[in-house]
Amino acid sequence: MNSGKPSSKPDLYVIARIINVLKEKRRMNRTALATSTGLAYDKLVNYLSWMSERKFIEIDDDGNVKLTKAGTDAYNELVQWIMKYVGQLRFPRLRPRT
Amino acid sequence: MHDQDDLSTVKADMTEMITEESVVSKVQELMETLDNIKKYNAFATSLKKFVIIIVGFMTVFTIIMGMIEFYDLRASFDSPLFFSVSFLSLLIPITGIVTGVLFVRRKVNSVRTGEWKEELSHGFPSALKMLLELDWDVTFDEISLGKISYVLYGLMKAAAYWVVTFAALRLLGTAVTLSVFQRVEFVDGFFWAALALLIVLFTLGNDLLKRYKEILSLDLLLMELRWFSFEFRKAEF
Repeated sequence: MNSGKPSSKPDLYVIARIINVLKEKRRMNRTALATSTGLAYDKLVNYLSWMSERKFIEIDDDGNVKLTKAGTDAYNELVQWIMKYVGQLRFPRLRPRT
Repeated sequence: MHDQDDLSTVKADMTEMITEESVVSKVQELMETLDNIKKYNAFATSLKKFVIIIVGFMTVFTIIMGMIEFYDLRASFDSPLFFSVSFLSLLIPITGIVTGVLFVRRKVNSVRTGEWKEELSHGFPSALKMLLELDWDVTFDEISLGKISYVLYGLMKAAAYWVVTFAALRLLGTAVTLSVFQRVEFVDGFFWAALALLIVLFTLGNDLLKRYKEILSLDLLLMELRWFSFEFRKAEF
């Protein structure tokens, strides 16, 4: 059974979406975050638990989720890594002619 | 002090936004390039029918011209009528080329592009998703197949042009020599073949050169994407 818990290899896209929303809104409750990210609540909770273990987020007593500096740094590192490689790609001007 | 902290935070945020936008912009370029690859690949899917159309029309034309030669129908027509019929029969391969090219053009234009635009408008996470979901092996196969098909299409089209030019030149040459020198054959068929080749190369030279450059570009793209996919797949995030 797939519980949706990101045990070893989480979906990077989902993580990026959660962080992206949190960067914009700063602090959000889990229900609003699930709506904003388009994730099922259960799946979101599992991802939040995974992110919390790695100190990417903090959840306060009211259930509000806040992005930590470690979370922001991890996200920025990912963006920089992608840019480092994708930025080196040179695309030719292609125009297939019949 | 607080103001300075706020300012540096804003600056850092702006830099991150620019980098994210740069990633999105690069992924957009990648997706546009892959859309074009799909168009090249349309040559592969339509090449077989293109060849059948061209060869079919050329065969009909060859049979008609062969029958005229074989049954010596030239004798039963007077010269102007014979040349009129022969020139009119040139419309057969010309129609074949036009039909074939239009068929391929329709296939290439029907390739659906830009379906990723809506998704990519959601920013960096969507760009990341696209990179993660790209089937690189399929993409590499598409580039290789599209490239070969594009070359074959160009060569096939040039060959068809050569056949039409050769037939037209030979007929024209025969008509001129017959009316001026009262002889059917003044120069060898190889002369007309070579002249037709020169004319086709002169006419399509620029097109063939552009195709050659496109093939080189596709080779370079293939190398770059292989490198990127290798780095991307081996990365541990």
